[in-house]
Amino acid sequence: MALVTGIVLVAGARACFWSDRRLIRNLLEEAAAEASITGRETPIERMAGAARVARFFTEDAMIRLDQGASMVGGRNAIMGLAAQMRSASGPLRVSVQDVQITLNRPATATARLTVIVSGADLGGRVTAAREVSVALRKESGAWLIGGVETVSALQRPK
Amino acid sequence: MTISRMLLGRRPKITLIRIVVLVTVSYLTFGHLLLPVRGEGISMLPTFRNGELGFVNTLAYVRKPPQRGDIVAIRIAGGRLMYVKRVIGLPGERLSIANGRVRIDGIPLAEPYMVGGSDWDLDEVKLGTDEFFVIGDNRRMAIQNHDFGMAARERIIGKVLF
Repeated sequence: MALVTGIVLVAGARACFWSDRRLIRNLLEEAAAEASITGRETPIERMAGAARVARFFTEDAMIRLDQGASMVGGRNAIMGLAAQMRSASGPLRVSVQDVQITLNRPATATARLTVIVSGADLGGRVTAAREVSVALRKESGAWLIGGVETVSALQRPK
Repeated sequence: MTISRMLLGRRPKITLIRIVVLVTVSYLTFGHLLLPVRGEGISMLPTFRNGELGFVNTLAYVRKPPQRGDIVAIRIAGGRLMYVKRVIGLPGERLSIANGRVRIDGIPLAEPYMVGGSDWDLDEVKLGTDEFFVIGDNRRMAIQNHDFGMAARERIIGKVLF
């Protein structure tokens, strides 16, 4: 009986973790899809798109680029950044690859992945690719992005 | 003569086996062991030109670590995007650049692959136990436009062959 209970508990825990990994992977893929830009958006559509991107982040989320050289903090600031980029950029497709997820505790996780930005009007040519580390948190049962940090292949001496 | 005989010869089974073996070996070789790379940019001029094709030997550093002077591929992101740079500093060494001249632990480094002079300056850095200093050969370009620095051993995919 104890053995059966143990097996059921282990299987249940594994199912939860597997489910969380899938949820996180879906979240990251959806966030990338929302970050993509068609280039034909009206100002209102740009703001709506920026708001949809921001909803993937926690209130206190932080984005750090290039070893902290550029930082954006908070959901509102991230929405502003997303709106700015939608105004300034042509059509872009954002996608994620090589997603590796580590579940740290029941409510936090980290993901290491590659973000690929390709120009939709350049025949899909990759314009940028960066490895990023993403910190995630579960709030009210939903996973959200708490932090994004770019990972540099080369550490440039100061 | 039937079409299949024309395509597969007198022993179609052997021919099919040969095709499968050839495809498998090609996939393993060029998909995992000998990665093709195409250079983009001018940071490795004159050694590696923009648009030039090379191959990365991913088995080169299985038994021994990268050596000074080796041209290596460093993973940037994903599996296919990489820097191609030359190793000039090894783990544990102190490296500096004064008026374009590289010094390793205070001793000037001979760099016969360099063409022309350079005015680059870099304060001394101490490499960690698992860090290699990599840099391009083209040091006539502005230093701020050149990607170089310390690369962790785990990011070095292999040795670049031309």
